[in-house]
Order: sequence, then C-alpha cells, then structure tokens
Amino acid sequence: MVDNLIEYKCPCCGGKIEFDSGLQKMKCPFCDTEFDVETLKNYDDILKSDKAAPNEMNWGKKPSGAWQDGETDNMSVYICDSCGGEIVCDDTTAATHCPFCGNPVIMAGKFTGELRPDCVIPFKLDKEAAKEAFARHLKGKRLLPKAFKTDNHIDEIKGVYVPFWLFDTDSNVQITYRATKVRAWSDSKYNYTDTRFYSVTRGGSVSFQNIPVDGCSKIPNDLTESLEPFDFSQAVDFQTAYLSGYLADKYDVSQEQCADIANARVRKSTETEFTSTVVGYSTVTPQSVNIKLSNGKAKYALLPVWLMTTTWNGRQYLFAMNGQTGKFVGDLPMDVGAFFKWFLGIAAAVSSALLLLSYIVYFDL
Amino acid sequence: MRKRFISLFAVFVIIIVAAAPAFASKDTSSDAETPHHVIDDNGKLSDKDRAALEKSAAKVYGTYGVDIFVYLSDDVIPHPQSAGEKIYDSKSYVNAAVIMMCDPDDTYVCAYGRASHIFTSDELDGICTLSEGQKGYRKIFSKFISEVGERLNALGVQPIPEERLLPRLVDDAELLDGDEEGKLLKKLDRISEDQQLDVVIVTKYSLDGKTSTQYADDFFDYNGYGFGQDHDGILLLIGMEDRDWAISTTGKGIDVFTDKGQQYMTDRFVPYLSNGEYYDSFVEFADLCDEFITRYDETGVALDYGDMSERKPSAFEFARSSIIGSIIVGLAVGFINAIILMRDLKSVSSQTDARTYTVQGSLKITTRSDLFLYNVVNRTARPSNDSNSSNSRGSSENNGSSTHYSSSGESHGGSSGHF
Repeated sequence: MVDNLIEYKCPCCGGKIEFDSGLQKMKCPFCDTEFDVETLKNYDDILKSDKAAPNEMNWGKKPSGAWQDGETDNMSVYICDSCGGEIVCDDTTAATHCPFCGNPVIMAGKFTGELRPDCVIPFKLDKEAAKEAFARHLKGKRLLPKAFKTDNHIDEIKGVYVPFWLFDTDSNVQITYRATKVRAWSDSKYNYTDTRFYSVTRGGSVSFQNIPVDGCSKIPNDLTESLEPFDFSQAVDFQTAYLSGYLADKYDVSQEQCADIANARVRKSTETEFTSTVVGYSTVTPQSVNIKLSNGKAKYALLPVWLMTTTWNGRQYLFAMNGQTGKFVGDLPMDVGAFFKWFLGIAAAVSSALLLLSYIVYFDL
Repeated sequence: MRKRFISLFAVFVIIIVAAAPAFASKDTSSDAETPHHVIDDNGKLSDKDRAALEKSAAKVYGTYGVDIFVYLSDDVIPHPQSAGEKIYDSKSYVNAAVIMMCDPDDTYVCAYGRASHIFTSDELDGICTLSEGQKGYRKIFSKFISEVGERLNALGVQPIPEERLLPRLVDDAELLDGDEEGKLLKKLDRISEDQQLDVVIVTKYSLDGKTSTQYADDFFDYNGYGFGQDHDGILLLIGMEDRDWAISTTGKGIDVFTDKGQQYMTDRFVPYLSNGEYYDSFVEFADLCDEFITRYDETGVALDYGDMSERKPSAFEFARSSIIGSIIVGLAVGFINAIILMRDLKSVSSQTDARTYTVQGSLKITTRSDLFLYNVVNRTARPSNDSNSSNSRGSSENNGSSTHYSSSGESHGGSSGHF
C-alpha cells in the first residue's frame, strides 16, 4: 500500500506522474509519455542509490616513515637564495648551483627532516646519457634559434632525486547515464526518427597503483608529469646510500594538497573506463557519477631526474630527463624569423608547384 | 495574202497552245493557295453564303494568323477530334486552326496547333454554345467566325510572319553606341547563321504593361524570329523602366538552354548589366549562347548544371582562379607545416588521467543495467515535388527546360529577373 503513495517524477519532463487506469500504465499528464510501473520503480531505485552514495575521494593511510637515529648525520642542506629551494645531499657531494633555477646556493647546515622516504628508484642513467639526450632533444628542431644550441652549457646538468607522493587506491563507482538509440526511416510522405531513451547504470570497481604527484613546488607539475611513466617495479626501499653523488629535494607540498591532483586523474580514468563499457547507443551522457575511494595509501618516494636550467633572452628554460627511462622533456624557445621563413618558404614552394601543375593540366602540355 | 494570214494564224495558235499550260498551271496553283474555309458536304449553304463565310474567315486568318474552318457533314461524325485533325493536316501551311463541325445531330468546335494553346476547352465550349443559339447554318457559322475573331482580338494574338522582320539586335533603349551596335549585330548574325538558331537581343525602355516574359515571347513570335519550322531561337530582352531582363527560348532553343543552363548564363551576364556594362553583358550572352549550342550539337545533350564544372574556363578565368587557389592552398600548407615545426619545440604537457596506473585486470563491473524508459517518434514531411502548371521537357526532372505558351500559342522556355 505504501508503495502506491510514492510520488514518481517523469524521467522525460520531471513532472509528477500518475497512474492511468485505462492504460494500466503510468502516464505523465504534462508530456503524455507512458511508462510501465516496473520501469519507473527501477528508475527510482537508481536515483535513490545515486543520492545515497555521496562522492568520497578521501585518501586513507598516511605514510609514517621516520628517520632512524644517526641516519641523517651525513646529510647537508643547501638553500637557494633565489628560489628558496632546499637541496639535500650527503657530505661527499657539494652543491654549488641550485638545480632548479641555476643560482648559487649556500650551505645551510645539517639536515633535519620530518619524513623518511618510503622508497626510491635509483638512477639508471648517468650524466653522459643525459648530455646525449639533451643533444638529441635539440636535434632536428628547425625553429630552434641556432645560438641557443651553441651557447648552452650542458655541464650544468644535475642529478636530483625529486620527491613524489605515490597514491594507491581502489575506486568504487556507480555511474548513471542517459543514453539514446536513434532509428530513422521514411515513407513516401514523411521522414521518421524514433529516439529511444534509456537509463543505463554501471557499477563496479577499478584499482590504481602508484599515481605519482610531484611534491616539489620548484619544479612545475606539467614538467614532472611529462616525465612519466616511471617503472615502479624497480623501486627499492630508501637507503641514504642512494643519495651519494646526487642531490635530493625535500617535499614542500603536502600529501593532502597533492591528493587533489591524484583524485582528478583517478576520477577521469574511472569515468573513461566505465563509459567504454556502455556500447550500442547513439548518445551517452553521464547523469550522475558517484566515485568512492577505498584502501587509499600514499607513499613518499624519491624519483631520479636529471635537471638543467638555462637562461635565454631573459627567460629561464628548465629541462628534465627521467633518470630511469631516459625520456627527455623541456620546452624550447622559438626563432620567430625562422617560423616565418619556413611558413612563407613552404607556402611559396607549394603555390608554385600547384600553379605549374594546373597550367600543365589546363593546356594539356 | 491568204498564205500570210494562215501563217499568222498558225503563229497565234502556237502561242496560245504554248501559253495554255502556263495559264493553266497558274490557275491551279492559285486554286491550291486559296484556303477552302467552308466544306459543305450537305449543300445546305448557298454560294452567296459560302462566299461571305470564306471572306470573313480569310479576314480572321489575315489579322490573327489563326485559320478557321467550318465543316458541314451529311453524316454523323463519330470522332469529331480526329475528323478535325484530318482537315487541319490537309492544310499543311496552317499552324493554328479552329474548326467547327456540324453533323445532323450535333455541333463541335475543336482547336489545333498553336490555337489549342490559345483557347481552353471551356472557351471552345463557350464559342460552340453561343454559335449554336443562332438560326440557320449561315448564321451559326458567321457567329462562330466573328466570335473567334473577337476573342483573338481580346487576347492580342497576331499572325506570325514567315520572314524575320527586324534585325537580330534591336536597341530601342539606346544602351549601345553606334560602333558597339555594329560589332554586336555582326556577332549575333554570325552566330545565328553558323548555328542555324536565331540569337536575338532586344532593349526597350517600357514593356507596355506586359511582364518581361510575355513581352520577350511576343516580340520573338510576332517579329518572325527563329529558324525553321519550329522557329529555333533565343531572345534576351532588357526592359529599362523596371530594370527587367528576360530570356525567351523557342523550338530547339528550349532544348539547348535548360533552366539550369539559363541560370548559369544569367549568373555570368547579369552582373555586367547591374554595373551598367551593357555591351560586355551582351557579348558574354552571345558567347555563352554560341558555346551552349555548339556543345548541344556536338553531344546531343544540353549543357546542364552538372556539366558546368566540366566546361573549360576561359584562360583569364583559369589564371585568376588557379593563382588565387594555389596561393590559398600554399599558405595553408605552409602554415600547417610551420605549426607542426613549432609544436616540435613543445614537449611538456599535463597528464589528466591515471590510465597508466590502472592495475591490470582490476576493472570489475558489478552492476550493469540498461533500462528502457520511453521513446519519442518525430515525423517531418518530406519535401514534395510540386506539380505546377508549367510543363517540362528534357532528359530528367532536374535537368529539363520548363515551358509555357505565349499569347500566340507558341511554346517557349525562358527565365526572367531584375538587375
């Protein structure tokens, strides 16, 4: 009995829907659309379950690694006057220039840190490989100013362990889509289109592992994201010994702040994965998306990056190479003159060729 | 003396004998040229009546170019239409005729040739009923002849001359100077003679209250333009009062210049008219006509909308479009290439998803429902092919020429507009 008192809303126009005793169906008095009672109940259930499950994107467990006594004794900290970067290295390595902005650094004293990294991917590629990669990076770039190539001091390349937060999570999801199937046909007088509306629901889970988010504010996020992917199967437990000969940075962006970036990426991938299972429709539009994250874990990791800065025409350019895979990234300056030379040169060549060709065709030469 | 008289007589006789066939033949030929408008199988008309009827029928023919016959049969006519057709066909020089046929039971009026396009069947019935009301065959026929004459007069029908009365260029609106007029007329004459299809250009200030199409059709018909029996030709009329232009096509011209073909032509020469460059416009028109006719004669198919792309453009047109086209394409290719080279310098971009970090095989779908809610059927009317009153002729619906009849009953194609 109680069921009969429930008000249903029309999925088509949102109006209050009534039972039509003549039709033995639910009929919307506003838009005249008819529904089976069963269909409406199911649809209502879907709507309710959507409302009952608010979006949750909280990361659970925090990393809690602590330095052991004496572990940081051999580590020194340098501070950059210019960008404020804090560089950590062991006593055997002397940093003279900030790897992020290229300015001279000064020794600040002994290292004091909050968190001990959980894991580290050791450098696989040495400085020579980085120099070669840089040379390759400049090669074949026709719009690169010539002077930029010759004036560069690639000796300034520094191997830096960049702090990353690695997020693991299981994503539980329920997505409701409004989908349509359109069929068209015609007779002698009319063209017909039949649009069938569906409420499509997909629920389930998908897991993500080691989504890296750069915890260092000195390096732009898009630069570190461009270095992806890292092979985390080669990650090992952190030992200070790995720092020997390299610089390291301390994280200055907290795990909570980084979580937002990871959330957005998980959300987008989850939606894409589930939407790809909705097939056979003409249009598919998500109506409600509920994503709940569980078993969230964050790790603190140091990832190997070769960094190089250079200043050209008053602008600073930062280049980076993935110290594990050798992927080299960094935007290069453009020679505006060369741009127009190529633009107009190709335009003139193509135009003349076309003109010649058209004359040959016209005059049947 | 007697001998002399005999020889003189003999010469006279020889002359007479020799001249007799000439007189005789002249006599028969004039007999054949005289149309017998009255055919009286019944002998109910007196010679005087017949002569009067012949005279009034001949007058109508002379004034309007439409012949009139009356046929009095002593037998019942089973198929009046075909009986009339026989009479019409036997007078081979006639291309328009109205025939009244009377048998002991009934009276019929039928129209043939151009006349069938001048009078509707209702009008013919009207004439028949009016004439039948008279007493006696003489009165019936004379009423019939005068009624047809009056109606032709009201419609402004005139006889179509056998010969062309005016030159192929009539510049009454004085749009061309003497030099231009001479050159253009020469060109029109050359094209017309070569192609055996009259290409005529007429400029007028006022169109005397007619539509431009009516005026162009009538001007063509009543000035005897057109080659051959079908009066093959095309006429371009310019009316300066309302800045009208109209094309009228006749005979083979209807097949050569289809609706789409004319549209193409007007797209080419009307812009010149709008700029006041009348001579250039007329030259363009004449050249296009020449080209269209040549193409029709070569292939047997009219240049139509779809063929326009196949038409070889003039060297100037070609140079203009190929230079502009090449420069545009060249600039586009050059720009795209430069942008590609520019993008080469960019290697930094954000990652927006976590696809790479999906644990393989971890995607589990636990809920899967595809619930049909409702459907909406929309119906839109298909564009229908309107059947309008004008006829069409040609290979297919889209490529043909639409035709209409002018006041003289002649069939014309054409188009019109303002500039």
